[in-house]
Amino acid sequence: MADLHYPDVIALDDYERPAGPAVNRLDDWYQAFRKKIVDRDSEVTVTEDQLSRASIENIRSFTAEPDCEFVFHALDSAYLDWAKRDTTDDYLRLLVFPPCDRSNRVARWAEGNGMDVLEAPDRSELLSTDLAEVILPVGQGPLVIPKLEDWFVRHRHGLRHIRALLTALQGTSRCCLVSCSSWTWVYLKKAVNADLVLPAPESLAPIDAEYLADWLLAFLSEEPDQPVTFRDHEDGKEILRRKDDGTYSDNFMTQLADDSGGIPWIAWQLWRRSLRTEAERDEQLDEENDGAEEQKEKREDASEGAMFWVVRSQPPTLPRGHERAACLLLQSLLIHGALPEELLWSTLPSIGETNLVVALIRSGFIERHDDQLRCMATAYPVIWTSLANSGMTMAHF
Amino acid sequence: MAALDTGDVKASKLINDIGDISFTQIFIIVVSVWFLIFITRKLLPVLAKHGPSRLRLYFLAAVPFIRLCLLAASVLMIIPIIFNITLQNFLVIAGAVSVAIGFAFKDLASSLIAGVVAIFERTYRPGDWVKIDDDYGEVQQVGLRAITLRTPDDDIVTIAHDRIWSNNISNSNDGEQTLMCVADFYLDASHDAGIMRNVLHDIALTSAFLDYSKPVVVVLAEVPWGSHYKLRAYPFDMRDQFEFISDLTVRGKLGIREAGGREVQAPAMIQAPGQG
Repeated sequence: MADLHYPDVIALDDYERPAGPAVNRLDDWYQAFRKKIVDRDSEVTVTEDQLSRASIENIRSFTAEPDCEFVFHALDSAYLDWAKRDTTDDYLRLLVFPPCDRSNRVARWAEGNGMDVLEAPDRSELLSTDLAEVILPVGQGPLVIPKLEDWFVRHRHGLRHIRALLTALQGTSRCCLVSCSSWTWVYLKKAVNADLVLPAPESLAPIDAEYLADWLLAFLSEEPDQPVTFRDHEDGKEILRRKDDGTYSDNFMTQLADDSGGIPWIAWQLWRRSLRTEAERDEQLDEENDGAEEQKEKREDASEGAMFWVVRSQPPTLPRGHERAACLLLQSLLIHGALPEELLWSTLPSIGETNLVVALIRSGFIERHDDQLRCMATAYPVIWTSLANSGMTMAHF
Repeated sequence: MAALDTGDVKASKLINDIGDISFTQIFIIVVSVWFLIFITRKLLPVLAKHGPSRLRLYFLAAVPFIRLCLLAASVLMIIPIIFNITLQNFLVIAGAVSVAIGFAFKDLASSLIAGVVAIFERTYRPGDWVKIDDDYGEVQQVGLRAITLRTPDDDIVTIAHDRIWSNNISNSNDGEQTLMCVADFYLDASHDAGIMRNVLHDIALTSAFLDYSKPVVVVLAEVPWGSHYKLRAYPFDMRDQFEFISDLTVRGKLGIREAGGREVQAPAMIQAPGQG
């Protein structure tokens, strides 16, 4: 794990999504076209992994989202030296973070390095009509404001606190590291001209297929007592195995890097969702009842350790006839990170779509967490494509 | 007699011998072109509807252009099959066609020519929102003779192309993905205009339909009965324009009331500008 070199923090404009394999992209286009025009009636809004209970919880590495230590190392190399400097120039830094970060990594990194963290006011206060005032705490060392998405609500009363915060930032001489998601940044640039106060946004570099494969391999090697093998469920070939020339023998990781937009935790969630246990595969093989000898060999190979079959899961589809309203709802959730349901509706036009939340939860687009709704990382590639097709202004990633 | 013979020969050469004309070839050309136009008219709108929003107008605008090209190509292929093309014959045919058009099909010819001009000048394209006289709507189809508009009230209006010679054509988006929407607010003059402009500005900035790449502007004009505010902004998709204006209006009214403004209403016999 320590040998992996994760690229440093980069300028936001330099972020380039990893390219996927051309063949798979053509196939994706064909499948999307077929689904929209030819095969609409056969759409299912429940994803494959919801229908089957993939029992992968016996592997510790799969039970919780990984910390992504390399992200913390990248933050160390980008900001620790800066935080120790006494110069007054460049005292405001903005890190545009990928969406669907469930672990609040910037705040954890700041606290781990003993930095002051400024928490956002409670969301219930954001819509009050009282005058908003933000006073930045005085102290030594840098101040970290980890989630700008918690500082506003896209409502006619909901921009006061974020404006007050930006005003306070202009008046401070203390080094401040501000962070927000890429969708929040797109909105704040428009709504409160945040780019005038924070003019040089930076972001984590995208991870490419090579790095992704190395990371997952290193990650799995933390389970020495239970070696794990992954096989493509279509052809039985092993995934994550290097060829003699050092390259990987399949393009699964290239596709995964493309689907995830180079965001590590989304790649991990997609990877986790694509895994199936051997038992399920066996059931399929019994039903198919062909190629028995070849499959037997593969089972024998797998008997030395845990083996998982990797499938290309069908992505979820937006509720038919409600795509427009669904896109508005998903965009609002991405801009705010997470929102209670009542607050979510206050950010949307009156569109009479009160049952949409239930449909999107069932489809695997959003989830409830601590009474808040948020987008699921596994649906992010579909959400991205849907919002892009609807004509919305898109984030960098 | 000799002169008469020469004239007969020339006339007989104007049109090829009936035995030399390949009606099968003409039939194949006509059917092929008809089939290609049919496919284009059916397929491209479907692609426009289900494909990415940014490609929608390109797909729609390609329909009349492809049809024009196909028709022109078919005419160019059929003419040499029927006619013996020489300079003299060309002048004879052109003269005859001109006379026929001048007397019988003047309006039709004017519309056809205007249609060709409109396609190349791009006065309007399928998917554009245009206003011609009192008719405002989305261009559904650009035909050879006329266009069809679908109005916000779901009426289909057919308008001949030759209106471009004499009428102003107002194109709201001109091939762009979005268009400016305006929400009007009429207020009693006794209020703080600075606060009110900020309130209305925030109303637009917090709309779910807003296109973040376009500006938001609030303009104010004093009129005899009070203050007229116009909130100008762009939705990310012009198909949402009426929902966008409704959203701005609904939330704008709330914002105005909270900011201490009072809306005024003109007497029923007075109509606002632009409403007749």
